[in-house]
Amino acid sequence: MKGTLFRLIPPLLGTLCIAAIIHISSIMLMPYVSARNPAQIIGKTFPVNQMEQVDSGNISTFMLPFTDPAMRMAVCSYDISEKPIRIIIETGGTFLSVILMRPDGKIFYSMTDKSAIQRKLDLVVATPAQVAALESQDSDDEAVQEWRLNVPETKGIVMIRAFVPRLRESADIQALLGRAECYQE
Amino acid sequence: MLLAGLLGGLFMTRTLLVLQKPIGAQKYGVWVAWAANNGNEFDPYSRAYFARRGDIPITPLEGIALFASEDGDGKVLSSRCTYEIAGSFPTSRAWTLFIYDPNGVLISNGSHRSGFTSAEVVHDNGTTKITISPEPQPGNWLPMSNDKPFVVALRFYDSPLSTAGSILEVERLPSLKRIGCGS
Repeated sequence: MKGTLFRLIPPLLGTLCIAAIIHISSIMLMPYVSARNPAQIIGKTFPVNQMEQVDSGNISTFMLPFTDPAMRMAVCSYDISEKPIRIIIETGGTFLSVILMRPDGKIFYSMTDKSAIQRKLDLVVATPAQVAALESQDSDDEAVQEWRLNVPETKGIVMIRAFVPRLRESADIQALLGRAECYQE
Repeated sequence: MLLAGLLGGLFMTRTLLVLQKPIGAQKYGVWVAWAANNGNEFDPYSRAYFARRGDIPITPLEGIALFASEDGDGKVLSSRCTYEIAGSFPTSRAWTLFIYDPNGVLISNGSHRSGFTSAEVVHDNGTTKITISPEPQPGNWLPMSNDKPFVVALRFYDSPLSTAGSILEVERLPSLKRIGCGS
């Protein structure tokens, strides 16, 4: 009886180890393999290096679940492998935020309209080499008026979310996001 | 052994991601919230949960999102019942409360009213009360129809809670109580 128990221990431990490895791997891989990864969905739906508003006309609410309907959204699917991109967003009195997502959906940067300078968010999304090149051109006499975001990967998503306090203000917020720009430098 | 380990590991992953309070989430009364470290970083379990569900979480810098799928007695929220959300709404620049089906699709109804924003809600003597019910209610009423489970999402934007998730206390959040259920 005791011998049988001892013989069962190695296969049991082996099974547990394999289960633990599979479990940890599947948790870590989920953002890469999930068909519902929002960054992948946005990347496939919207043009590259161009700001587009998100609405029911271009993306279904089934594809972006639990979206706050009081937030108007605009996205720019970027590719900075050749040149950095510039994002320009006017801010109004309403709450507005910007997030940057990697292709696996991981949000690696966020900011709100509190960071705006003269009611404008001017962001440059660039690789470390591109940021270094920009810095080398900076003048010592003039303060830099833009936010330079050093990003780890050349592809990703910039998403703007702007709060619509009341339905009747939707057109104003839509117009505000309509003026947001995303272009290659 | 290999097959048992494979199935066991996948079963564990699935089970942990469908829990009412998944690993990585914190529960404050009926409300479930996800805290992030270093401003934006969610832990791997939370990231797996969001990737499976497909939504884009709000970061602590933007605010905090709270989800409720059960009432104070631990019963799944049902559109057949009447619920009252009232009490303390933490300070924030803006907040929104919307109702979704369990897949995250906004519940639409005849009145096209699926929620309220802090600017829309009507206050009564300084208190805020929202009623979710299939029957007409005075004040801030969210009409429901059909007999289906639903989820309440309460989001606070630009709130002191956003950057201090650890001090979030149940007393500082609105309560969600079942008032009664129709036949």
